[in-house]
Amino acid sequence: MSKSMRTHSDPEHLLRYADQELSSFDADGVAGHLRDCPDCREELLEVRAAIGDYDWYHGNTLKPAVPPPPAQWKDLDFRTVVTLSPPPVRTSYRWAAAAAGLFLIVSVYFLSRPGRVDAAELLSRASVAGGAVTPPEKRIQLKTGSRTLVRPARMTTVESPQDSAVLRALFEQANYSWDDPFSARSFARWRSQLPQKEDRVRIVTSVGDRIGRFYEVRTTTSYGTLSEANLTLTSGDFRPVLETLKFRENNTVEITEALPFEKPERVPGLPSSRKTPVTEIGAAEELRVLAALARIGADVGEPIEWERSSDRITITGTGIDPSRQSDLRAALGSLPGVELRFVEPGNVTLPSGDAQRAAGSAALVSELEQRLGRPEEARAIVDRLLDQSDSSLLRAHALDKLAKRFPHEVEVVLDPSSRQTLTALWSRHLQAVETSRALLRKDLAVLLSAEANEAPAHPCSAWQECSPVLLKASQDLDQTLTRSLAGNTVSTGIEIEDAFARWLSALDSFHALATR
Amino acid sequence: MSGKLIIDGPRESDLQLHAEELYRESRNDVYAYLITLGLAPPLAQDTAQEVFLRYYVTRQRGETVENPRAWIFRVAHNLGLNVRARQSRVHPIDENVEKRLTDESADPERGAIDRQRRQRVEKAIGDLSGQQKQCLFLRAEGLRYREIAEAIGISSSSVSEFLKRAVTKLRKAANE
Repeated sequence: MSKSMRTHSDPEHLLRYADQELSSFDADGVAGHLRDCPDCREELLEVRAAIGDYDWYHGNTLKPAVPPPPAQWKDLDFRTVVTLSPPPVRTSYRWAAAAAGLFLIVSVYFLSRPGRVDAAELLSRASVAGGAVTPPEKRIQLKTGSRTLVRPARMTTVESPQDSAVLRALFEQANYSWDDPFSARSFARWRSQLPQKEDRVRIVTSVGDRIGRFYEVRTTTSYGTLSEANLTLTSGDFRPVLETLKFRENNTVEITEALPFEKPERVPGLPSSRKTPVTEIGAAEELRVLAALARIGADVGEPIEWERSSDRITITGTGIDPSRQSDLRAALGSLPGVELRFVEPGNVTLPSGDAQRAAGSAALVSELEQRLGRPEEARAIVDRLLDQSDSSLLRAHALDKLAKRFPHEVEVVLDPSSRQTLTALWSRHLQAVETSRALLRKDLAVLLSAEANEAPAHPCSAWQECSPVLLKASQDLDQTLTRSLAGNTVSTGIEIEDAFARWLSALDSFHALATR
Repeated sequence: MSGKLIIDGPRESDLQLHAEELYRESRNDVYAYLITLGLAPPLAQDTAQEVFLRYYVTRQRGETVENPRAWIFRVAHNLGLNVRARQSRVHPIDENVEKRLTDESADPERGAIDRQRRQRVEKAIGDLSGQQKQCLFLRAEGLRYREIAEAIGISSSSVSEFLKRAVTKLRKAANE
């Protein structure tokens, strides 16, 4: 730095100096130089004048030109945000914290203002939303007093679990669906037949150990035997997560979804013919395997595939050298139900990226070499661009695979620990892509002599929805860069700009999720 | 489900007072920023309010926020882009600015401070890239480069670069 201070200060340094954004060491260097250099003092005055021009415009033209808010500002309504459980455990992953907001994705303006919240509208929307139809395999848990009953969420026959006759009678007497009690539709049907009722809808940010945004509908009535019903729905797809029914004479029934592989508490009289074996390999076990692979960096960029069946997870490594095989054995050996296989590759040989790159000398590269006057620097920029593109494409593939293995509907029924593992896994891939963003942007700015175009974030409501879009954008960007920089294609750079803008848009969709 | 409030950190009432104070101080600035992102005024106002409620929720969860003002602009930026993608059309602020410039052309005070120069600069501002404008806006709102970078999801050095390019263009326009 001190060396550069002996020459004239560049405009960026002067701007940072004027904005007090330099370290004290660098600022002292600039100040020292300014004392001896009238040209730079003049330059600094011009920089200050320019930012002064903007500040004047900001305060006197731009701000007054902003149309006034269409309505009076309302007080913040803190009743709409209530924490029902302790704060989540913080993890070291930057995105893990952000992911707590993944459930928040919903039409921002529906229900965003307390005054607009309406129980009938919410229930109506929830009754036709994606989560409205109760899947036949879904099971629910009903708790009343010290008793717990696990049963199918939707009863398809007239048979009920034994010992549930009293409970069933309670529901039927209240005219509340016993066949499908854990649904917005049943809640709405019960509510609509009440001659007198009071509703309250609020947004809650956690339910039990689940963090996110949920809508809680409460209807109270003096009519009938059910005096109060509370239904909490996810904000994204309106799936029920908790229902509390308060019958008169202090009978309260709490309904939640039973986790798929949870061993239910035995209820006296309940048939003991559960088919789910205790040792079944499920999503949680698969996530543990993926986390172990990630810990040794084997979850991306290596020819390692995994497959889950009902009783095992088979890991297949192709062409893995002996030392790496040892790493994998050490990482996975202690996990239950894991079968590790190593196979040798066939004779198919794919051209390496480097070989492809050497094939052509693109016009853009020649232009860059001429402009920079240093061919080796131009080549280094091109290599970095292609490397970063490769790297982000690999991550996008890994992210997409994870999204397909663990779609939203699977994620929401995972136990908290598995959900945390899943979040850490996909966040890790995304962080790597984020690193590529900065490097790509910097080198593309030099290559194209232009800043990246901005584009609105691609709208999606969960990371699993964002992932395929990012993969497609990454593939397009990689192909465009390879074609334009390593092939013989004549390109003006517009294709690259467009592909990069689409890629940024896809990446920004995760950012939009992250702040919710 | 328990209805008990469990707060880690400042007292609930203190947090609410703090959020309300921040809301009163900064809501118009956040609203203006959302308008410049292209949101229609009703959406911008709703979104601004949502930003402050999220701030409250974040603090309520026990998370610390080093610079609340920078935090709310960051959330406003991300939320704003998301909302903008959902609304039917972008509402450019520039139409309003243009109208105002026309309306003020006879302002004697403006004439006294070199109206032509100002108009050239303002036109140059209109021609800046979206990111350059965002950096200038947030800088004028008092955010440090690092905070601007976090707000709009770019690196601190990119902020510096965008600002430098913007300033270069404004200088050129001013000296034409």
